[in-house]
Amino acid sequence: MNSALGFGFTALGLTASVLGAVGGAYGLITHNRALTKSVRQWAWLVLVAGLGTFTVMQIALAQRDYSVSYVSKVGSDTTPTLFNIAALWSALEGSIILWAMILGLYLAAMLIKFRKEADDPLFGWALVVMLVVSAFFFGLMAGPANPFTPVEVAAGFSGPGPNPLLQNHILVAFHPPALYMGYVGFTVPFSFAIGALITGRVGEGWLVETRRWTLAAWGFLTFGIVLGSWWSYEVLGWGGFWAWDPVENASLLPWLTGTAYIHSVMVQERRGMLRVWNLSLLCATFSLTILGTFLTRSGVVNSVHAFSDGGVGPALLVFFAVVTLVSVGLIGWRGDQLRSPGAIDSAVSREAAFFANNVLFGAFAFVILLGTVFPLIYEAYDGTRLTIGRPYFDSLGMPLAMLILFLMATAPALPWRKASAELLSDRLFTPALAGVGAMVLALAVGARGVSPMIAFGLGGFGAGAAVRQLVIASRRNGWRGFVGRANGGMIVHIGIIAIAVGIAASESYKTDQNITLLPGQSVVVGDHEFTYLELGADQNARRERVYALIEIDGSDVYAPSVQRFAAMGTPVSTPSVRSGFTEDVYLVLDRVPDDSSGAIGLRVILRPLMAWMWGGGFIMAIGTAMALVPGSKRRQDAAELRRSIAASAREKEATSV
Amino acid sequence: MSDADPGQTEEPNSPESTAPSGSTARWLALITGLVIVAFIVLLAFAGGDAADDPSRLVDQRVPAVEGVALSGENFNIDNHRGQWVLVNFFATWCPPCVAEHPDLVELEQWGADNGKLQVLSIVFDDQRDRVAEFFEKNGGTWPVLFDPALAIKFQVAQVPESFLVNPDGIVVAHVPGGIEAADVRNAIGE
Repeated sequence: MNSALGFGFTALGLTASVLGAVGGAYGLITHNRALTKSVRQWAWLVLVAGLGTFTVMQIALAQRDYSVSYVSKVGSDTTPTLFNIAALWSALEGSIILWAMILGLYLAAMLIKFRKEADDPLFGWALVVMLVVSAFFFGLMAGPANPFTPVEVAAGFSGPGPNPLLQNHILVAFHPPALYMGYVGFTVPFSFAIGALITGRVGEGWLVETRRWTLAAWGFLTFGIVLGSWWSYEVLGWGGFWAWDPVENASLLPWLTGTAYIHSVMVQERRGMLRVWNLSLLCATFSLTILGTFLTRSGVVNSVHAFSDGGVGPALLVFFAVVTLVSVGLIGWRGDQLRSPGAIDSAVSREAAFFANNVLFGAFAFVILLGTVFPLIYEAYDGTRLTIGRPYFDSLGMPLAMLILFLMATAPALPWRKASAELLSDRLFTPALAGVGAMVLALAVGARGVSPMIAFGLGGFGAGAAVRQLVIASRRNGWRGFVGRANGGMIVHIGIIAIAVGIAASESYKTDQNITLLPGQSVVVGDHEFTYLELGADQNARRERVYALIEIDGSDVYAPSVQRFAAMGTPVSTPSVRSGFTEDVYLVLDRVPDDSSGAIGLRVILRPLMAWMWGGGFIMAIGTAMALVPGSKRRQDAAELRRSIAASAREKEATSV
Repeated sequence: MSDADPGQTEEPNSPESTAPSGSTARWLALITGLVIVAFIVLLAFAGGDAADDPSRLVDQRVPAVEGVALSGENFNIDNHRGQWVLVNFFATWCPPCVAEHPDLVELEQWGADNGKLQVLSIVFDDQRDRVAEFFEKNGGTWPVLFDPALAIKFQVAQVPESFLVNPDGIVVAHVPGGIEAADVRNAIGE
């Protein structure tokens, strides 16, 4: 029943997407207004199909309907409700349902937001592109990754449940949806970019219309990435938060190009420059989300997250080829119209700083892409597999991150076109003072070492620049001094600085020790005393757990554990973390007692300022939300612009008929 | 979405007003397109190999392995630098593990004769007395460790699985499934 219903919705989604895309494109080419209009109905049906497949799968999971193949893979009688809901995105086929549903939601939001521009061919093409993308994902669900395949199971069968690591922490309920809201969200600006290229209307109008969509997608992606590293830190028990794993890199790549775009787009809005570049960045960002999905879903590269599956890989690769080659072809075709008017006047100006920003983010993305795919290039050449790890990414990424911090500190002070020395010294004085202050403070509390000190100094500098901007804006505009793109952006900067400082401190001043403790024994690590009180054990239907009670500094008791899930033989070590503003204490039960002495192996990791990283992520999310609220001046501009756009669209339509 | 947005652009956006750079854009697009095609071809032909050896440990330094063995002696893998070490994950309840045991016994003997190889077993989800009984019955005197954390470190999800560590402490091979004594001897070189 659920199988049939789910497959029915899948077929509806595929049919509606294909018919909508083909009909829409044909209507636009032949100027058939009725046909173009009908696309909207198909698009609504795609939303219905997306919500339908999602709902049916949730019902099937809740009912433990093992006749649905996906439920038999990731469902189990004993999975608690929250993790059973999250099971939908715990494996490949289900994650495509989530993808298709979110795409449907974005499509619906587009229809509502642009209902007045429904006749505009640019919007029409954007809808067609959205439908092509949704046809691809519904096609995956109908073909190689069908989650609704009916299967026969014996009575009393209970599935294995999701991967044990995915039923260990509440963050699994939030990290994937946030990430997908980001990935899928980039489809919207991409579809407008393609629409602009096809219609030849490559001016700034479509940018203004989609910039908030881009920003929202970027915000979700940022938040999703931060939640993902938090999950990794809290659950995996390896003591770190970022491993340069291909899946992590796959999320960082579109983030980097997306970040470059939201900065360089301002240059285009202000000065009309960097048009080809901006279009390329949008196309690259969307392509990289598909490439990342391919890399991690096809088994081409090794990854802890990879859900490898034969049929999906080739389909994703073909789709990546289509997306990139069509984008590049269109940009080449419209190259003559994309030529930027104007040039950068001075190397010390806001636009030059944005340009430098783009060079750095582009270089960062290139470094990561190369590191992720280099093993494949090497294998093609040499036949052996090579692993590129942390040293490569750390040694190349760190200097780039430092330069980005430097830019973040200085760029907000730069005016457009050209800066004078007096102006700069005036604007940079307070932030520079904050930077020096941060370094002095760090030295005073015992921080040493060149690189972390530079990071703290630049962090203080950048935070000073952002706060200065916010203070000035809020003096001028009251509470509106905290909203709008420029001011919200400054809040985002503060968040990213918190993350940078958190990474610098927690990596540079990390203490990591393996100790053996007998019951009742105490040991001092860093400034803390750890006492091993006793061993405990409990079990329920889905897992058994052995935990050690560890008292920290004679007060709090923490319980790092080793769990074994019924579905999977491998024991999973679950850390116990005491998070604080200045320091995290991270405990891992490394060895359970295996002889009569009762000695345990305990790994103690102390990470100063680790919590700044998660706090920074929340500040970035808040900042992005503030940036989405229109500032006072922009609100009027936008209203005026929309009127003029509608007028010009009507005019265009009239002349072309 | 118009070409001339009031108050936004400072220059008109018509093709004639700009320098002729259409061919530049076309060339750039062509080159980018070719690079992308090459990249896609690479990806298309690189696919599938990763599944052959999902272990990320190969070519890496062997994770720390130390502890008290079944026999009561201390074992530390770092003390075996200069010698090959075969790290074997097993359980008495797993038929392929029982099947590969004679090969391990043979390898232990071979290693003891020429001093080249040390065999080490790590118990995966099993009980101490059962393992002791198993060794009594089937032979073998090499160190046996009980430490569930090691399976995590070696990313072992099912048994048997073995790792061959060279004299420099680098994992050179990962064998999912039962091992053959001859293969190990060949890998080390007689």
